Amino acid sequence: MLDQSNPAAALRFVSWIVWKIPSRRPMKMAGFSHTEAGSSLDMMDAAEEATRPDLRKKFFRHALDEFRHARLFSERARALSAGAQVADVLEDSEYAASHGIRGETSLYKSLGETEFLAFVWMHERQGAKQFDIYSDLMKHDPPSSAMFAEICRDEEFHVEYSKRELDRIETAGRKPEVDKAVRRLRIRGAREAFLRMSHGFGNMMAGIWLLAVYVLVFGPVTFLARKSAQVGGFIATPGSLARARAEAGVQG
Amino acid sequence: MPSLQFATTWADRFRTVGELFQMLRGSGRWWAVPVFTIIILLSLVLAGLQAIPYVAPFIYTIF
Amino acid sequence: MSIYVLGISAQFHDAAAVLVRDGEIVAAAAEERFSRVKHDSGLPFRAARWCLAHEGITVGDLAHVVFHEKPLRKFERLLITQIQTFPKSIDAFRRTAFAWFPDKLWVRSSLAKGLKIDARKVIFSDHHLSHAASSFYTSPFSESAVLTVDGVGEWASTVLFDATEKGIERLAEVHFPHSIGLVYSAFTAYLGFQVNDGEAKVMGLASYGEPRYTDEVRRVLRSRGKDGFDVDLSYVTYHYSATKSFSSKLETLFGPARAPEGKLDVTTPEGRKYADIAASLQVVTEDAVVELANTLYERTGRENLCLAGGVALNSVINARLTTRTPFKRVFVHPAPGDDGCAAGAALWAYHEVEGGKRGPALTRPGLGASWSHEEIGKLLSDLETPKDELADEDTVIARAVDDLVEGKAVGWFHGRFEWGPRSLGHRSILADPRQPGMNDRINKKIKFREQFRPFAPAVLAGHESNYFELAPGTELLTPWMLGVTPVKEEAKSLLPATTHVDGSSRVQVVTENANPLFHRLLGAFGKATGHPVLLNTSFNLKGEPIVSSPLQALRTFYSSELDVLYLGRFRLPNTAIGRHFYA
Repeated sequence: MLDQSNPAAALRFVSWIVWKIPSRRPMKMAGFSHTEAGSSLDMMDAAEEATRPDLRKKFFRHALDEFRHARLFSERARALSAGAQVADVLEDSEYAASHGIRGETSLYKSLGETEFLAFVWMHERQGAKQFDIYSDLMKHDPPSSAMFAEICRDEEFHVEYSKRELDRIETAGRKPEVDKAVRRLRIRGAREAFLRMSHGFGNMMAGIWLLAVYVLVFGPVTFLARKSAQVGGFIATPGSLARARAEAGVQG
Repeated sequence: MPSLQFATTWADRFRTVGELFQMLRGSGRWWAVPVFTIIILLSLVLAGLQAIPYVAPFIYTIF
Repeated sequence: MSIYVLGISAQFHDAAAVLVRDGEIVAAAAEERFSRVKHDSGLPFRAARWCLAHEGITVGDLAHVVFHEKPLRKFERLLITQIQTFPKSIDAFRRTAFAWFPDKLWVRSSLAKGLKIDARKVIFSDHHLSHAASSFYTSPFSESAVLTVDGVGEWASTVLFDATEKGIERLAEVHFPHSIGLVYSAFTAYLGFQVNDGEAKVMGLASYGEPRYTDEVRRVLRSRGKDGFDVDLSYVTYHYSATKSFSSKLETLFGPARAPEGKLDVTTPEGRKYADIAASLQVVTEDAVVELANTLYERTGRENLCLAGGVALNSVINARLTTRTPFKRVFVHPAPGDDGCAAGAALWAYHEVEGGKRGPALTRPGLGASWSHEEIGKLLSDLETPKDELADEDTVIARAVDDLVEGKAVGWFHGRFEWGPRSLGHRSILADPRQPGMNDRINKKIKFREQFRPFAPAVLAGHESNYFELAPGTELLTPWMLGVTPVKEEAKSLLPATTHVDGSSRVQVVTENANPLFHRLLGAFGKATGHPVLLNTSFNLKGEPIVSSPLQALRTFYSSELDVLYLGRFRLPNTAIGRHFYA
C-alpha cells in the first residue's frame, strides 16, 4: 500500500471538502468515468503504436483496467443517484472533447515513448494517492470505499510498470532524457492549468458579453423576426439544379 | 510557415464574412444585417482570442 | 486519369469522410471508428487521412474536398430562430456562440489547415442534397423520386427531389422548426431515451404497445395533405431550448415524461403506457412519411423511390413504402444519417460539379479499414494471447459453425469494416437464433442493453422467403438491414432470438457478392442445422462505437462474456475475461 506516514495533507483536506456533499458524489463519479474511459483510449493508442511486444502487452492490460474503472464509476454513479443530471453527464458523448480529456491525436504519438511513460507514471501516482484518500474518506459508504480501494490497487500496478520502464531507460544511459521528459510534463501541467483557468475566465467574460448582445441586439428586432417566422407546409424551390452547381464554392 | 498560415486563415475568415452578408442580402432579411454585423465582430474577436490563449485573460480584464 | 473527390460531414453528429473515385465509393469511414468517441462530431481528420492513405493518394490528387452542407445558412437559421424566440433562447444562443464563433463558422479554413490544402479547393453541398445524392447515386436507378426526411439541415427538414441523369432537382421543402425528425426526437426524450441515440429504442419499444394515442400525437405532428405537414410548436421546445425538446404542454397531454434512469418494464401499466405512446408515434410518423411519398409520386410519376435522412433509419417505415404507395422499388443508402452526407457530398460533386459519368451501384458494405493475417498474428503474439491459428477459411467456417451450434456467442472480425451503423458480417457478434434465451443472454452479459431491444437475423440469399414475408420492391433494403419485415408464422418459434414481440424482424439478406465469407458461413450453418440464419448484432458494447481494429475487438471481447472470437483466421477463447493478462 502507499506510504501513509506522509499524507498529502492539502490534498486530503480538499478531497474531504469535495466529497463531503452527498449530491456531488455521483457527479464526481460520472466525471471520473469519462476520465478513465479517456485514459483507456490513450492506452489503446499506445498499445497500437508501441513496437516492443512486452510494452504493448502492459499498455493493453492498462487499457483493460481503465475501461473496467470507467464502468465501475459509471455503475456507482447510477447507484448513488437516479437523477437525470447524472445520466446526462454519463451519456454526454462530447464530454471528453469539451473537458480536454481526449485530443485530436494520439498522446503516445505526440509525446513520444519516454515522455508518455513519464506521463503515465506521474498521473497514475497522483491517481493512486487520490483514490487511496477517497477510499479512506468514503468509509461510511462501503461499496464506494471498496471500489476506490480496488482501483487504487490497479493504479499501483500502473505506477510500478511505468516506473520500471523509466528506470530501464535511465539504466541504459538515457537519464537526461527521462529528466527532460519529467520537466516537460511539469511545465505542460502548469501550462494546462493556466489554460484551464484562462478558458474558464474567458467563458465567464464571454458569457457577460453574450448576454449583453442578446438583450441589446436581439431584443429590439425580435418582433420583426417573428413576422417572418416559418410556417409549415411546402415551400417551392424552382431552379435549384443549376443554382446548387453555381453556388458550390460558397458557404451560404 | 506560421505567419503564412495565420494570414491565409484570416484571409479566409474575411472571405467567409463577405459570403455571409451576400447571403443575407439575398434572403431579404434586411433587419438582420446590423444584428449579424455585431455577431460577426464578436465572433472575430472570440476567434482571435482563442488563437492567443495565454494572453487572452489579460485582454479580457481590459473589458 | 481518375477523378477523386473527398466528402466530409461534421459538426452536428456522426462526422465521416468518404473518398469517391470516378463515381464509386472506394473508402468510407465514420470518425468515431478511429477516435472511439461515439457519434463524434468533430472534423474527421483521422477518417480523411485514412481514406487517402488507403487509396495511396495525397490531397494534391483530389479534385475537390466537399463539405456536406452550407454552414452559413445553418448559422443563419440558428440565429434567426433564436431572435424569433427571444427571450427563451438565451441558453441556446450561448451554446451557439461558444460552438460557432471560435470554430464552426470557420470550417473552410479549419479543413484547409487540417488537410493542408488550399481553402479554394473546398466546396459546399447542401445538407439535404447530400442526403439525396448519397441514396440516388449509390442506387441501381437511372431515375428516381428522392425523399429526404431528418431533424434539420440548414433550413429544410424535409425535401422532395426528382433525380435523373441530368441531376437531382429540388421540388419542394418543409422548413424548421416543422420537422418530423425533431418531433420523433422530442418524443424520444419524453420516453426517457437519449436524443440521436434512443430513436431506435423507441422503434423497438413501439412493438410492445398499442397505438392508443395517435389522435394526441396528431395534435403535435399535423398533416396538411398535399401541402406537407406542420408541427404545433406549443408542444415542443427544441427550437429555442438548448437542453429540452418538449414542453410541459406535451406532459399535460400524455402524462409525466419517463425519468431517463427509470427502469422500463413493459409488463407494468406505466411501462405499457410508454410503449403505447411509442406505438402511436410510430404510426403517425409512418403515415406522415407515406403521405409525403404519395405526394412525391404525384409530382414525379417515378417508379423508384430513394430515401435518406435520419428518419430513413426507421426500418419499419422503409419496408411499408412499396405497399402503401405506388412506388415499385425503394432504396436506402446504408448510412442514411448524417454520416452518409459525406458520401452524398462527394458523389454530388463528382456527378454534378465535375460532370462525371455515373458510377456503379453500391453492393458491398465493407468500405472501411482492414488488417492482414500477418498484422493480426503479430498483435496476438506481442500480447501473448491464447489462440488457435486456423489453416484456411474452410477451417474457420467449420470451427465457427461448431461453436455456433454449441450455443456460443461468437465475435466475428473479417475484412474491411462496414460503412454505416449496421454490422453486416464484418464486425459482428453472431449466435444461433434458434436458441431461446439467446437474446436475453446477449443483451445482459455482452451488450449490456435494455431487455426490450430486439436482435436481427442474417439469412442466406435465396432462402429468405422460407422465413420472412418480404414485401415486393423491398429487396434493395435487405442487404443493408434497413427493412423490418413480418416473420412467417411457421418460422416464429424456430427463430425466437431474432423474432421481435410483434412477430417481425429486421432482416439482412446476404449475397455472395456482398460478403463472400459470411455467405459461406451462413451456407455451412444451414447445412449443419437445416436453417441458414444467424443472429447478427454489432460488435460493440453499449455506448461505444462498433469495433474497427483487432486491438479494439480484443478489448471488447475481454470486457464482455463473449465465448469466442474469430479474428481473421485466428480463433481465441475468452480466458475468463482476459485473466491471463493479470498473471
